Amino acid sequence: MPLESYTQADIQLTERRRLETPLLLLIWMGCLGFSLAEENLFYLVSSTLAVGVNWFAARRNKVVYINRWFVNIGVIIATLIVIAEYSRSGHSVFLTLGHYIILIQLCKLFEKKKSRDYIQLLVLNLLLLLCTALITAHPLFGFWTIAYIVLACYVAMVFTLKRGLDHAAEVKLHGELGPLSPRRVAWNVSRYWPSKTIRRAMLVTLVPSLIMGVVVFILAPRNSEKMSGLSEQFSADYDPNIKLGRSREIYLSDRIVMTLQIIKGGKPSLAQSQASKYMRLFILDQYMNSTWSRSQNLDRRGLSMPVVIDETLTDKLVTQNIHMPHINQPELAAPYTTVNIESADNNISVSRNNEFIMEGPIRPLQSFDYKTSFFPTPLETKELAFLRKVGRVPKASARPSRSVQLTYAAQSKVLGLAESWCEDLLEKRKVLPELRSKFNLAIAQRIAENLRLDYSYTLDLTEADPNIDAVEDFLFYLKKGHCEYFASTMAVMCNLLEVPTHVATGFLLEEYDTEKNEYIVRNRDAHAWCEVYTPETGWEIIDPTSGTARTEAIRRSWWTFMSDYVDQIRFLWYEKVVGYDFNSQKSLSEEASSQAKDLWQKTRKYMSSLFKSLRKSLDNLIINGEVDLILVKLLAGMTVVSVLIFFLLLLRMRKQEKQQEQADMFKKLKLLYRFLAMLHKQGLPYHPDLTLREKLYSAAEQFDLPLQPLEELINLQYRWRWGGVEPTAKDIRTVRQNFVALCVALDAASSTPK
Amino acid sequence: MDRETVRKRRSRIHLRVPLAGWLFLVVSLLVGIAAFRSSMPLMFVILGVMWGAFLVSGIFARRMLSGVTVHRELPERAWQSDTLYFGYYLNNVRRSSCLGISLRELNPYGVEDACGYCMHLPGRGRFRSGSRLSAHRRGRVRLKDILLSTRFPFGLVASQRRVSQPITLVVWPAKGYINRDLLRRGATAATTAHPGRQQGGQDEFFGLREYRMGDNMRWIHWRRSAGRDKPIVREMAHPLPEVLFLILDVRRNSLDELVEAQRERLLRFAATLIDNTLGRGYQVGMALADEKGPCIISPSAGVGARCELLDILANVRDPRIGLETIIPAIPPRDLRDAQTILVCPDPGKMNQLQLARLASRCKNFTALGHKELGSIFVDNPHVAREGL
Repeated sequence: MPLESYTQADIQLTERRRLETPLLLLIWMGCLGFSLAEENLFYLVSSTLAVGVNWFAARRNKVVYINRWFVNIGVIIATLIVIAEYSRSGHSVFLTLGHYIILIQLCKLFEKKKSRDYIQLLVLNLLLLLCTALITAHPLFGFWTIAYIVLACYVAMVFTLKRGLDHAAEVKLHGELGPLSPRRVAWNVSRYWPSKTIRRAMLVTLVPSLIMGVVVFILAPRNSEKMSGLSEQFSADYDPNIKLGRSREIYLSDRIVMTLQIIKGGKPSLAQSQASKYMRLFILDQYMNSTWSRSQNLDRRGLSMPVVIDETLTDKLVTQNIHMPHINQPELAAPYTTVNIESADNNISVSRNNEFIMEGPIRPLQSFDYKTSFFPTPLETKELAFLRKVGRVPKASARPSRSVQLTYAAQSKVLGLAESWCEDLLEKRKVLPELRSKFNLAIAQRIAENLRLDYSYTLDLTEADPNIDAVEDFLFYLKKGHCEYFASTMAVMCNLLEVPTHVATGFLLEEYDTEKNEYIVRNRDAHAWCEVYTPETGWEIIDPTSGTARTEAIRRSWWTFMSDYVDQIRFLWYEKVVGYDFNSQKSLSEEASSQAKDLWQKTRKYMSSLFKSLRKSLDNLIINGEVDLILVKLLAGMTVVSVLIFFLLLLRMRKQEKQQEQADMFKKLKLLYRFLAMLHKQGLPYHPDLTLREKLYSAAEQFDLPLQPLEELINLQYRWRWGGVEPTAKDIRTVRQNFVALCVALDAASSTPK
Repeated sequence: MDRETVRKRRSRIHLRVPLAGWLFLVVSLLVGIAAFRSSMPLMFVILGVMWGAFLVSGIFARRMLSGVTVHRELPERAWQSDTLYFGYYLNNVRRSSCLGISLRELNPYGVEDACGYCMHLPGRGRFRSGSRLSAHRRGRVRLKDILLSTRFPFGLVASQRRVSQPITLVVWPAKGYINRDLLRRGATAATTAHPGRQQGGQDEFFGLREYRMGDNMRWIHWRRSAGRDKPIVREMAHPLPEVLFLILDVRRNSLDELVEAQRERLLRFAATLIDNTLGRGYQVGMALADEKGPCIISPSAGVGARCELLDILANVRDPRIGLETIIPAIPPRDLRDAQTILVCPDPGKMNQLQLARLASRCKNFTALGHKELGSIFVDNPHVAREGL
């Protein structure tokens, strides 16, 4: 592999090193982002190695390359590898495209690069960025993208300059044997590399570009029919089905789903029992392929509502006033002992599964208010009987084990574990069949307790194996999970032990606003639990998830302050950026328009009142000849402002004149000539062949003058004379100070007897 | 230059989207489609940044050129097919720096130029950007406008500004190589009363004499003067100037390309000869026909004579008169002490009697035709390559 060295003039001319180092960093950043998003270390390691080799070569002003033929062969091999990978593994198109881009970049890194190759590398890197943006929405990727854009801006600027330099270096006239020597071209096009100017230009260009990015992000029209796939994934567990093992990490945002006020005896109060805090949305009773679903379709021709309640039971009813800021689905949350739900339109029906459904079309931004009335738990016999009578207690399956479908091996393992946990209770249930209900409840509670004790709560499921059943994975390998895992596992075990159980999903009331006396339900309050059926009690809520563990996991997934802080950022990211959808856009625009309207109204009001009073004052002045206070104020204000402006302009003019005067003086080198004349008077010999610098240095040696002010003086003079830089006021001040210091030193030197 | 003058001189700035910019827009369009289809938030941000970069590129590039003035520093004369180095003086009246400015001559007919480039022009600063050009044909080349352009910062939009600076460049015929000394050395030499002031170093030693007022101090012979009352000076022999008189027949008998090429070659030979002989201290005179009639230049030496003679050669167009009119018009005094060279397409076809009379009036007479030129004159290789 040959190494080519460049002369200093070549480097100065082509600015190879200045372009290559940031370009290599950009390529590495692109590969890093994609590899981390995909969690594929192979591409990261290989790209790091390739970039590292090129970087070391660039640092030593060398370029490392192989024959172009080998590069082309490498590209062909990469193409074949990617085609094979795509056809065999069935990765998404963006993943495969990302792999292909990385491989091509690796090949091109070992090519002898020209301007065309740099353009290709830049374009490839941009495509890699887009691929990464399409496969991930991790918060780190947001910061990474900003860093990437900053660097890409710098590279693009340097590359634009380099192209011009290359053209100047390569152009050859018809009559010339070759291009000019690099040194000569370098002298023709630049004196030095303008790093500072490029950095400033980068800042100036980058800020508006980023602002434009934010504006487009805020204003770009989104799909109004549905939320984006990611926001759905990250915002809430609204899916009617529970699909275990699909998402690797669950993020629950702080978005408010509903506010809820419990009214008892005409006054707002807290939930009376734990069971009253569970707001049910869906009931799922069929388990297959790690997924919970409904056994029957949602029956909208359900039971009649409202129900007429006996007078004896009316006193015991508790009411909930629920406000949903945005409604996204027809199912409405309510406690499982709900008797009636009322809304303004009275368009709510109840299914046979006791799920409450809103009839009619749903508008995406519709807010919705409804009222529920329910019996607080524990239920009395009368209440249960009434609920049964009105059909609020659905019947349980006669053969619960049939509602669970596991593989044979998994079923035997899970059943074995469940039997080992409840061995004594099962035996007693067998012996005492008349107490089956009590033992069923005891079995369910035993299982829930064991799950709470032996298994831990987590939202991070990156270690979950999607190839085996989620319940089996949770019970025997993973041993940690979130509420859906706990509820699913308990329901599967109970059903296998012939305890009728189903999974319910909804919200758990936790956050209470003491000022407004209402519960605030957020997306992060989404929860899953189990309901166990006994003929005596109906469906009884048993939550196998540890409440404290869950709260701890949601509120503080890490126990350090920093992790909490990072979590907050993540929540914000998913809430404000990833979850920014049509609804957020609409609410933001409404907010902005209302603010603008308010401002406009206020301004208009103020202006009209001002004009009215002015008019009144003028009328008064014209008719009565009296001067009102407001006119006096106005005149005084105008006078003060005009005087201020006048003085400011005068000051500015004086300053400019002074600067000009000083600059002219400096230009004419009066100071330096005066100083030279003084030196000659003091005995400095005339040397017409010496330069100014040499003269002053010899004077410094002869009269023992301080070197620093002298050097500053000469440098500034040279900079002005040859660099064409106008001296600033600060420069002139410095020169004057230096001149005074030099005069003092010269006086001291001349007065000292030698 | 004050701001008012700059504003007056400032011409309109045009924005142009190059290929890279169009490709960038197409890519941004695809990104937009992907963003709307996928609803990925970061895609919208990237899309916005891309649009922002495009807009900023245009605004930035436009602002950069708004405060730049340019002045072309070009010699008035150049040799055909030789590289002429010149400079563009750029001045930035704005406070902010300008980057990546390229300069190009607009519509330079008959001239090939290498674009000038200024990588960094500091705020309120100046820069001389070196450039070069090469003229393909002799004559007067009119350079009109300079095109200032920049693609900084991102190369997506190019802003351009025309600066009108008309200038005429006189292109002398290309210089070749004469491989035989055509001129006979004259035996005439005279001693001067005192050493020559200008050509002292080239003279030969003649003798010593006493110093007189007005003598050059450099020629005092200090060693000889050491024991005397008056200084002694060296006396040098100063050869009288040689005189060359060129008579050219530049009339075209037909519009044939070959004839035109032969005439151009003849002119190149004449230019080369004039340049060589003037460099050797000759006085050179010339007679040829121009559109108005015979053009006779009396022999003279120096830079002015060189420019005058070569300018006339550069401006030769299509005269209607030939040697039969020119030769009688030459004053006899110009030919008396001159070595005369007559250059015409074919001396054999000329009036021999007229030639004999001419020869009798000169010190030396040589007649050259195309055949003779073939063995004497080697053309400029770049001109020969172009087949002119």
